[in-house]
Order: sequence, then structure tokens, then C-alpha cells
Amino acid sequence: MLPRLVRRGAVAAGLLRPGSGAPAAVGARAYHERVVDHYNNPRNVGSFDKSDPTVGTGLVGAPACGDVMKLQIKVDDNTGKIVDACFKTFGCGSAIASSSVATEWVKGKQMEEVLSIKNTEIAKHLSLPPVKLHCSMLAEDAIKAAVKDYEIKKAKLVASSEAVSIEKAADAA
Amino acid sequence: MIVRCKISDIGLRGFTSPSSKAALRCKTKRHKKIIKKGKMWRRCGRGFLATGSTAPDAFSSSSVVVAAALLRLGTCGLHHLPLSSPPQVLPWHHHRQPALRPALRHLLRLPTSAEAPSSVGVARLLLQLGRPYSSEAFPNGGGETERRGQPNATATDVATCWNCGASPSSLSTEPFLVCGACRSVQPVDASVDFFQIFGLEKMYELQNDNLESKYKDWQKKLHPDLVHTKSKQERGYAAEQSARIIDAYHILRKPLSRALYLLKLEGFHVDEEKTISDPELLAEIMEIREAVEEATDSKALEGIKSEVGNIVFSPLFLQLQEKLQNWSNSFGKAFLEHDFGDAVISIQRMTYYERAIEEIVKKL
Repeated sequence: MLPRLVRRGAVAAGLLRPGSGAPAAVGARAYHERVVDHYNNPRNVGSFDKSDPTVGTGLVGAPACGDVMKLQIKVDDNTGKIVDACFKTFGCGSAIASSSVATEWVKGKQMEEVLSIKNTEIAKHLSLPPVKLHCSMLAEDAIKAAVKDYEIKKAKLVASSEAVSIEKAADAA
Repeated sequence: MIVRCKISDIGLRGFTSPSSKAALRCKTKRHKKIIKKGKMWRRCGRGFLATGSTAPDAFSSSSVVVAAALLRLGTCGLHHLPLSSPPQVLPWHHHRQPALRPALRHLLRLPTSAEAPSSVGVARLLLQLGRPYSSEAFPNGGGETERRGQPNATATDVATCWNCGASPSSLSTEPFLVCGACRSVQPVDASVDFFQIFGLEKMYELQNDNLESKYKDWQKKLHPDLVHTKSKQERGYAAEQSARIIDAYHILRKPLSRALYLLKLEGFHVDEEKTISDPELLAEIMEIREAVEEATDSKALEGIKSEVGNIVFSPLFLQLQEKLQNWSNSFGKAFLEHDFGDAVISIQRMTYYERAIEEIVKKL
């Protein structure tokens, strides 16, 4: 499994670094099949336009292992529902899988609902070993950061549009 | 003529002529080439035969030679004592007091007396010679006795060798990993940190480049392959010490791990679960990593490469190395000023740049 590390032409998803999780060949200490699946068949890898007002971008990093994770959500303004999500992660396989799972779970949910996704659920879904629990933590933080970013953008928009309308009223008057 | 040992006064049964060289030495544990007969010989201890004369008061030159040899062995004998094997106590003959020849005693400047010295006296004598004896052999006591088989920590908290009881020389600045006297490997002392093992100060910059030579020196003394013949306990110690030294070498060699270790010694442990959301840093790192991915995928490296000698480095690579160096210097400075907040930040940045460099190297 692991020798298929460098995938030419594949969409950017980072490299699979074993870390403390041993290579897939070893029996009990292998990556869980879901993790391997998310690595081999990456879903929702990509980028949205950052300046798009309906997009919230969460950019988090784990300095201990040098990982970076970017998770973007596209929100429907009217309903507050997340219509699409994508991610880009540079780090170990567990981090990539965690963010991939996060994007999958986030799609089609309300923003408030999404904030209640816990890292323990992600870890359980992927059967992450204790040493890789911080990867799921990173994914949870990424979701929260994305939602927060969207809220901030929305608030700014509202504030600026209010300012504009006040100006207009002032001009008209 | 019965040939007698000059010190223990035991007669050598079966031999009547000391003509052959083999008859010159009393059989002790250490003198392997001997005279085979007689258990009494084996248990004699450090007896020496001299050629020829058996007259008790003879001031023969040979006895002088013997005494000199004994003295020499006594004072520097510690280096040659194979005390690592479990001590087979050499019981002095309880039924027979070892008698010191007057000649020898004179040479050793002991008070000449007509009576045979007691076992205590012999023990004291041997102490003067520096040869320790176990307390079983001298139940009457007689100076310090070594404690065998246990790691030593005296009341003054100075470690002593578990094997021979010697404490490390106060002149030596090296950590006490191997006993200087009997060359046996000591158990791991976790309070000795990696910098002490290599004789370096607890600083970020390495003063000199001789990590490797020190590493090899230590391994020559305590590598497990060198202790195959020794006791299981000592082999265990050697394995642990050797592993520790290997870890120390690898951690101190690389700047990032060295920095992390320094902070750890100061009490700052890396929190793995901590996430940061510094937008500038993360955005920069994301860009770099994306650039690396794309560059190798599209083989666009040709356009951005520059040649340095025969090795081709991309400008990005050089840039990253420069940044890494800058943050490395900043860590050094922060550490010296005990500004640990800055130090942690520098380490975080160094980690990110190191990862990026690793990725580039992997792709190259």
C-alpha cells in the first residue's frame, strides 16, 4: 500500500506519512480500511473561491507534526444549509482521512448542527489509534473555523450593506 | 624438597622440583597456567612461588622480585581483575593462617612480627594494596567491603560501581556510564541528560563537530556486542545504555529535534492536540506545499531550477532553507534569553519548514 505514495497527476491531497501508525502490510497496526479508502479515493478535494461570500474557509494547523488543513464550505444564504464542502490537507494519512470524512458529514447539514460534530465521532468512524487522535481534533477545529469564517463574512456583508443603505438614505435626503 | 608458596606457605604437592616455569606460580583463580594438582592450591589466593629457596628468612632476590610483582599487581591490579563474573568467594583457609614471609613484610613496610597475621591483618594488608575482598572471606570485617550485585547509592548520593564499589574519579567530567576501575557498564541514570553524555553545554548551537567521534567512543565502551561474556545483568545495562546513546546522538544531531529536546529539559512539552489558526503562517505554508505538489506534477521544475554545481536546487528550496536557518537562529536567541514563548513559536515555524523541505526532497 504505502509504496503507492507518490501519485502522479492525482489531485493534491498530500502524502501518506506513516507516523506512528505502521504500514498497511503489518497486521494489527495497519491503517484502517476506511482511512486507506479515503486516501485512495479522495472525495471532495479541491478549492472554492475564497472571496465568494457564500464560502467559509477554515484554515488550521497542528504545529506539533507540521500539518495544515483547509476546509471550505459553501452555504446557502437563505436556509443556512451547507450545500457543498471541499478540503485540502497536507499531512499524514489520518489527517487526510479525517478531513475527508468531515467534508462528507458536513454536506447537507445546517450550520449549527455541524458545530456539534465531535472529534471522537470521527476518530471512531476511522478507528484512529490513540496517537492519531489529534488529527480528528484538527478536523473538528477546521469545521468550526470554516463556520466561523462564514459568519464573519456574513456579518461584514450585512454591516457594509447597512452602511451603504444608510449612505444612500443620507444622499437621498 | 617440597616447594612452598612464599605467601600462603602451602606446599605444592606432587612437585618436588621447581625447575619448570609452571611451578613458579601458585594456582589462583587468575593464574590460569598452573600446576594442576591439589585443591589446596586453587584456594590459595595470591600466592607466589619463588624459585629454589624455601628458607623462610631468605632475602633472596627472587623474593624481592615476587614482592615487587605483588606490589605492582596490587596497586594496579584493579584494572585487570575480572570481577564481572559472580564472585566465587575464595575462602581463606580457615584452618590455616596465611603467613606472610618476613621478607615480603619488610618490603611492604609492615611491622615485622613473629606471629602470623590474622585474617584481619591480611585483609588490611590487601586493602592497602587496593584489592577489595568480599565480606564473606573476612567475617571479622576489615575495612570497606564491596556490595556485589546491587546498584550503589551511598548516603552522600555519589553513585558507585555495582561491581567493584569504586566511585567515579572526581577528576573525570564524563558521566558515569562505565566504571573506570573495572570497566563494567553501569545501569542507566535518567538524570544524566543527552548533553552531559556528549560533554556539551545545554545550548542550542553545538560548540564543535565531534558528536560522531564521541558517539563512537562511547559505543566502543558499552556496545552490547562487547559484553557477551558478562553477566545477564551487565548485558541488560549495556543494551539500555547503548540505546540511550543512540537516541542521544540522533536527537542532538538534527537542529529541530535538538531544539525540542532543549525545551523539554526546561519543562515545555509539546502538546500534540494543540491547533493553531494563524492565517498568515498557514496560508504561506499552504501555498508552498501546493507549489511543491504542482511543480513536480507538471514537471515545471525546469523553468524554475537553478544549478548549483552539479546539484540542481529549485529557488523555492533554497528560499525554504534560508527561512529555516533564520528561524533556527531566532530559536537560539530566544532560548538564550529564556524567552520561551518565542522559542516555541520558532520551533513551530521550523517544523513547518522542515516538513516542506522534506516534501521537496522526496519529490526530487
